[in-house]
Amino acid sequence: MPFPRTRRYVLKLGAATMASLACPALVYAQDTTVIAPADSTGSPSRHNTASFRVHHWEDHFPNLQKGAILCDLESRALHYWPEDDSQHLIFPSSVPRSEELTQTGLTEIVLKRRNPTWIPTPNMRALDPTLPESIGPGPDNPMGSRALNLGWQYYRIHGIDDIAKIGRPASSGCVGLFNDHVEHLFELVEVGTQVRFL
Amino acid sequence: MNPSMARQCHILPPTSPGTAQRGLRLIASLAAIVVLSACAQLNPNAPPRLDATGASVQGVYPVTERNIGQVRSRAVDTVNQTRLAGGLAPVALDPALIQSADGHSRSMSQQGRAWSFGADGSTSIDRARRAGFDGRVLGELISETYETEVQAIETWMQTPATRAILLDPRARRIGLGVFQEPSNKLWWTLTVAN
Repeated sequence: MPFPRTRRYVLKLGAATMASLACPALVYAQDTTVIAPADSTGSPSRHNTASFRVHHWEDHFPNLQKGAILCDLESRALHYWPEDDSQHLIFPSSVPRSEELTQTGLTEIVLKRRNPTWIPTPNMRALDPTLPESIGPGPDNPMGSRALNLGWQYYRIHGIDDIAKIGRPASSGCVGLFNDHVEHLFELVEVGTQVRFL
Repeated sequence: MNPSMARQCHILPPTSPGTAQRGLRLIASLAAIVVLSACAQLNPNAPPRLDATGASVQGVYPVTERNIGQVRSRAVDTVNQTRLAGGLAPVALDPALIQSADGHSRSMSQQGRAWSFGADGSTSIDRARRAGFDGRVLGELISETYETEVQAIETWMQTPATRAILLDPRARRIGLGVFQEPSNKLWWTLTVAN
């Protein structure tokens, strides 16, 4: 795993606000607590469900020019196919934590950034005025070690500061990957790689 | 089975008006299965009896080596009732998919996370292939719960994304995996393939 546990605890304890920063976001949603049958409180928390749908690029892209990334926000998974269709990579991801923050449709990579500096969006700042101006590269950076800017303003595919966010609705619209996964993907994609959020 | 027993099997009063409505609203076609499974309780290898909503009448729901075969049969019958009601082809249990789904249920318990990724980053595609499955995986459904397999299927039917996987027209084979923790919590994995 990319980070030692201690950092996560520090983030959660001391810097709850810091953790909340990013495109990957404020308070990440916890899975529900599954209630045992003896405790019949009528709580809806009787199950945590999830699903994974297998995708084929032909169903989502006209071609594989410059490769294609499909972010399945329902399955919380990112799919990648290179231009020569020689592989199909699938990585677990964080997804937007609410409907309002969710953008879907077709876009592309417009900029690749190594060790990005994270700057809160105006919207995030409005929600939380205590946010720092920016966070430079490092373990506390909510965008992790790599960022892929998309054609939609403020939307990114990036790494992560807290591995607990992966597989959960934890972002302000972006898709976060484990840092080792985003580093791998970063080397395979280029400006112009097609991206669809589904 | 004597006539009085048979009658008992059909008397399944819902526990409350709320649950009655829920049972009705849900999958009317499940009723037949529930009745059958209620009768199946007479078999020592059978899983616990279910009420009209598909819940275990005992509260807890132990899944054991002895009853897992019947649990899986009931699951595939439930899925097929639902598919047939929608005009879709039935599915059958596949041993390789069962093996890979069982492994994933155990893995989720170890990971403490209800999701489709293995600790090694694998997806159901990788796991099915490793188990020797030769078809194409279409999707996978997960539930971390104390609920029965019938309730889990019912829950998956209630959300569009999960329902679409269960009702994939191409589906022909499924694998139902389960891992039960000492607390009786269940980790269900249903792999759907063609």
